Amino acid sequence: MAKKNIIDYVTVASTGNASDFGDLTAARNHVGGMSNGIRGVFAGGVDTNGSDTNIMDYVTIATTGNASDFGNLTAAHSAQGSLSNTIRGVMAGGWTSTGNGTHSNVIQYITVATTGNASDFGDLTEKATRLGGCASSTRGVFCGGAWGTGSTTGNDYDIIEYITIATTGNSTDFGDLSRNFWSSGVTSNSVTGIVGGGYNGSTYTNIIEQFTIASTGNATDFGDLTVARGIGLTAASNADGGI
Amino acid sequence: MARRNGGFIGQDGLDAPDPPTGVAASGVGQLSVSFTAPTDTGTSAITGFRAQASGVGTSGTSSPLVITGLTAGTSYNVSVWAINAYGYSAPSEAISATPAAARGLFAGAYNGDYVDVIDYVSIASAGNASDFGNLTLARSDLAGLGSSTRAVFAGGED
Repeated sequence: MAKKNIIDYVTVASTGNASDFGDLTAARNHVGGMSNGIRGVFAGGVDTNGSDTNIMDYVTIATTGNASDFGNLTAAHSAQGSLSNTIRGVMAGGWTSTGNGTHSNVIQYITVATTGNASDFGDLTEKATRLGGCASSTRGVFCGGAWGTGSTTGNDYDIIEYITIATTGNSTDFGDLSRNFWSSGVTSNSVTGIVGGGYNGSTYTNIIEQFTIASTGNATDFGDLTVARGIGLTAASNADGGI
Repeated sequence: MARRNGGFIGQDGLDAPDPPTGVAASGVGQLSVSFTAPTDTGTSAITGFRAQASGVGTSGTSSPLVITGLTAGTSYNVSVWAINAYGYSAPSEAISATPAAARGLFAGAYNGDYVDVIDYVSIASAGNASDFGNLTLARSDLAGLGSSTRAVFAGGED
C-alpha cells in the first residue's frame, strides 16, 4: 500500500465526482481532519516510512492549492478521532508508535484560525483508535472506533463519549452504538451525529446510526450506506465546524 | 412614527439611523445575514444592528450576523435594523431566504478493495444514503472535513 498526499474536494450541495484541490505537505494515511468552516486542518497520520507523525497542515477550504504547515501535535499520533467547532479542533486517541503499536487516550486541541502547536485537552476514559468525531457548537462526540484498556488492542467498539469543547477536561460516557464495528465515518449537522460503516474483523457493514449531540443516550438506526465498507471510511458535512 | 433625514424619529424627537441596505442571507441550518451599514447614521453613531428571520433574531455590531435556531428548508423573511442611541432604524427591505439542510458525506474506505465511492444523506432525515460521485482515487484511511459549501478529503492509502 502507498501513502497519498492527495487532497480532493466536492461541492456538497450538488452531486458529482471529486476534483483535485492540491497536496498535503507530506503523504500519509490515518489523518484527522478539522474545520472552522473557513480553514481545514489535517493532523497526524502514518508517513511513507510507516512512522506516526506530529504534522499538522492546513488549507483554505474555499480556494484550491497545496497545504501549508500549521504546527505540531503534542506527540506523533495517527488514527485519531477528530472534530471541530468554529473555534477549536480537537483530536482524541489514536496510535502513538510505529506499527500500530500503542493506543492512546490523549485528547489535544488547536485553535483552527491560528497556526501553532496543539495543546493538551484531557483524556478519553479508555484508549481508542480508528475512531471518529463530530460536534455541535459546544459539544464534541467521539465514537465508531476500537476502544479498550489494553496497550495494543481495543476490544470495545460501541462506546460513545463526549467533551465540552470550550473546556479542557476529560471525556464522559454518552451512550452506546448498537453495533460493534470500528473505523466508521462520523459527521453531524451540529444537532444530529451520524456514524456510518465500519469493520469488525470479519464483516464490513453498511449501517448508519444517529444520536442527538446535545443529549446523552444510545444511538438509533438511521439508514444504510450504498456500499458496505469500513476500514478507513471518512465522513464530512457542510455543517462541519459545529455551526 | 414621523421620519426625518430618512431615519425614524424616536419619541424623544431625535434621529435614528437609515436602514441597512444590500441585505443577503444564506447558510446551512442557519442564516448568515450580510448587509451594508447606512451612511446616514442619524444624530448619533451606530451602536449595533439587529437581524431577524420571521421573528427569530440576533444582534451584533457588524455584518454578517448569524441567525441560528432556524429550520432547514423553511423560507424566512429577513430584515435588518441599524441602531443608535436614539433607537432602531426602519427595517431594511425584506428578503426571502431558506437555510439549506446539511448533508453528510461518506467517502472512500476499504472493503476487500479500495473504494472510491462517495455517498450522502440529509442528516436531518433518517434514510438510506444516495450516490454522490467518486473520489479522484480509490483509497482508505483518508481525512474528511467541510465548510458550508465544500467537503475536502485528504491523504489515505491505496
